[in-house]
Amino acid sequence: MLEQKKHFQLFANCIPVKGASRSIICDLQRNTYRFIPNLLYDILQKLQTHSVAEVKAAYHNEYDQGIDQYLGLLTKSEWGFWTNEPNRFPDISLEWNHPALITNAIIDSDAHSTHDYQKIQKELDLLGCKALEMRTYSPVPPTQLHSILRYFQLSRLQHLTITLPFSDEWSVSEITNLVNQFPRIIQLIFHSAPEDKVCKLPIETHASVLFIQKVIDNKHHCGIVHPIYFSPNLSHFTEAQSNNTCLNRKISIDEKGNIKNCPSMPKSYGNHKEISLLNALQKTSFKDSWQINKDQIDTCKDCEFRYICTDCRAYIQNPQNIFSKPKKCHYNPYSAQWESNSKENLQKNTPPSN
Amino acid sequence: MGAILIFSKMGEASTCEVIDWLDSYQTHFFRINDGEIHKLPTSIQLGNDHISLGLEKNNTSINEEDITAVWFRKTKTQEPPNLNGIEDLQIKRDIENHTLHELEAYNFAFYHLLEKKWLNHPSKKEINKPYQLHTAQKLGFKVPPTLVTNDKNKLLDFKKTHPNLIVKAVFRSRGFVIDKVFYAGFTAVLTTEIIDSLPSSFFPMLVQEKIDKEYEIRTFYIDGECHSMAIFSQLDQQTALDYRRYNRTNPNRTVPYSLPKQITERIQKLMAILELNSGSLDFIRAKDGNYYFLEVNPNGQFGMVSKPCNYYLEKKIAAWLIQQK
Repeated sequence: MLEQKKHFQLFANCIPVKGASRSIICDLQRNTYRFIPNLLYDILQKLQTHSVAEVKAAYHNEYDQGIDQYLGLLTKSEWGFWTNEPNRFPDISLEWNHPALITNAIIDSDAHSTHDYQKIQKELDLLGCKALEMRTYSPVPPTQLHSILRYFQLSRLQHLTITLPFSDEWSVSEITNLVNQFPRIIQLIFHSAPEDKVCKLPIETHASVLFIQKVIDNKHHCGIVHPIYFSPNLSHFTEAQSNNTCLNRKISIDEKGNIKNCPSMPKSYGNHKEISLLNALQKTSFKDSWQINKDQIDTCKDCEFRYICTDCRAYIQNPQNIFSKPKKCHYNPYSAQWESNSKENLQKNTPPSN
Repeated sequence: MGAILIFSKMGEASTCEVIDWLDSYQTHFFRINDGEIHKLPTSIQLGNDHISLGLEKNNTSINEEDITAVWFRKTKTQEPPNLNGIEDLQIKRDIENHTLHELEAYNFAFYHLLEKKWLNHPSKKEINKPYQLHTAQKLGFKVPPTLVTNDKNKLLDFKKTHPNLIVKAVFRSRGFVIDKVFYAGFTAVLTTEIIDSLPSSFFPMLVQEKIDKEYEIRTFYIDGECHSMAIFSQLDQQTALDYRRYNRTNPNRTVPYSLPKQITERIQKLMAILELNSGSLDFIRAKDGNYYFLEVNPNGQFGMVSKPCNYYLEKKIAAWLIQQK
């Protein structure tokens, strides 16, 4: 019989976050989260520095059975473990850092856009950009998309997400051909499609291809906050500690060529025909929203999801107050309820972007 | 203009990340992939009192005096030149062997003549495992009782005192591609049935007593510092014997770990004796409370420690390379 271990610890990548009326534990390794009552949150906090027996005693042994049950459950599902050497298992650092000036970019386009993609590619490379989202609001035939993407074939980009209207030219073989040629594509969304479905390709690919019926004809479809967009992973969680989870290190070009932090934001820092991305980025106020984090935002600061959701500063409840809650978030952390009408809308109108 | 020379493999992700950090500090670099020095326009000219050494790639070139530090991340095994015209198999094999040695020597001429600060010199890329274990043991590390043999009688004797045995490669586990399927080399249990089936003399193997694990530890060492991660491989049958048999759907828990001071000091001594300024070390934390040293890999992966523990080792490596002048 092994010696009974005295300390219970959550694994360092399972981090509890307390909300107004309930808490979650974010599993940043297996990319999920689970709900726990706030009382258990408090107990887990105490367990960081005290043995289980000491914590039980602190509650006058009134909760012994509940504590045993919960710790048993957390052990069984591998969220925590028992040890006699808690000092060997330090907390994970919540530092976030990235070598690139810009980590992600959005390019919007429509039938009237005249973007210089070669120039865009060169300038994004200079900024070290890793992820690009291209959203087109009017049809793009395969040949045209191929010639745009060819500019990015030798770039530093790692991930490419493309949203475009469905048209008959986009047969399964055309789509297969595209993702084959451009392995940086991780997601391809055809909006205005005849039906909602996941498109299966006849090849092995890491790209996901979706058809959605919803018509995405302008940037105002963005900014929705919903569990399907939650990102319980280490990089998002750590970035969220002191940065904005949507706008930090983001640059965008809207369909008219205006350089902005995000296409939905009103402020333009010049047109890409006249100014480089780097020069726009260096203008005062470009980075003003980058460090607005969830701990500063009304309501969000009391929400248990605050480090795994994606914020929005373009559509907010009170445009006069930059710290007000995202307009398209319908969660109330005080009642722990999602407002029902929004849920239904969302299932029908799933937008492609964050 | 100073620059950092990097030897790596095409598409190696950790190399790209270190380069991103170098770039963010506006540091120049020159990357050579897959041991391809001989495929680039290269030369070494030995003069009376100086050596001129030049490398060229994609219309850029680098001279010996510009190089401030060299990072040897990894390389690919050399491939012989195309000898399709030669039909005699024996002659073909001899020429292949000869050319492979020549290519290796050509590459090593550059490695040896670049008298710079190296993040592991390639002459240290392979350190014999029994020698590692022996050296570690002399420094006070516990190591699993180990037998390296090709003799069945010796194996049977060893089994009498160590009934639970595992077997692994003497050098390193490598994989094989058979019919497009990759078969990786792993640690396996050496059962009585397998032993019984062996002839009296067999191909050499490394046999160890199976240690009861509490968890495993992977440490990335760089210039005196240890960055460690505990791997809870024992919660899963698939990974209990060898955590590299990754369970992708439910990965082993991997968390930051703080080694006892005594173990850290032993690691520093071991690395000094082995003349390594960086490497990945594997340990078992046994149920008996001991730390068992398993091996050190001079060019081991560090991304698998850096990412789960949020250590930013890629940034630390870049900073180390920049500091060498």
